[in-house]
Amino acid sequence: MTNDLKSMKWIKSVLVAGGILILIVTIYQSGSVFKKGWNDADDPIVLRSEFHSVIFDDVITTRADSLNITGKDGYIYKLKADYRVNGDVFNLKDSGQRISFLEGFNFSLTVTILVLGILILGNLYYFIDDSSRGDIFTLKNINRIKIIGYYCISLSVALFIWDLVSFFIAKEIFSHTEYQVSYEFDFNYLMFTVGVVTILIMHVFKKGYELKQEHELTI
Amino acid sequence: MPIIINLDVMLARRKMSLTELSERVGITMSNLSILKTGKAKAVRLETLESICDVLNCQPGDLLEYRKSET
Repeated sequence: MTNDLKSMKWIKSVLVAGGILILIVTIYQSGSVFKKGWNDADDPIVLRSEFHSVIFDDVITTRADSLNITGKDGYIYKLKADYRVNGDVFNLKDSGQRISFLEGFNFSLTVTILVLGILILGNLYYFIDDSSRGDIFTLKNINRIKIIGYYCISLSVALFIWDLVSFFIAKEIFSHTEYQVSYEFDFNYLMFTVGVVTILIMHVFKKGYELKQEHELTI
Repeated sequence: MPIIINLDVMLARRKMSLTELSERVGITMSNLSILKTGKAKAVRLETLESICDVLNCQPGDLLEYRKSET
């Protein structure tokens, strides 16, 4: 039992360290936005050499998002993963009210995702904290596990919607060009599975709580 | 629960207080209180033996089954 509690403390420390690391990486990656503000878009970054031959009519591809663009000539320009040019695509012809709306929606979704992530980590921290003190099968912990499970499922759905909205933004941006942005289905199955498994674990904890109560009420 | 624990009845018959029973049996007051109020989920045979020994009675004097009215 003592060894178990010690390992719990280790897990807690790893969790805190991991959380801090994720936060630092996120801030570092979004560094340009923090430094320059939201008008960062006014300062276009030159395309990497492999994209110089790609011509998007009336579109400046400064820091391209991960996109799959199908040209009318049938050639597919894949701006994904390895070819990522870091960032945004801008339509010169039409700034578009719809794009602003979708971007606003995506921003609020990003905030929601961030909040969900923080809540999951927070609940996990308090769960491990209580467990390391020996209070494992408590109603509070059951509630925390339930919250983690449902938030994980919500997170996977929110990420899916975010990806979908990003596709619509890209589609809108390229609407005045000869190119079409194709959609690739991307769902975070891992996060969804983690959520479902966590909810199952919650039911196991509920049973554990009942057994604990029974044990405590045995005279 | 249809099982009734007549601990208070037996205590009254033997003119013994709950504190005295607690001291003689070696069970805490809170546990005896749980037993008396019928909140207990289970009773160990060991505990039943000690209580019967102190109160000089049979388990049947302490436990009673009443069919629940549904």
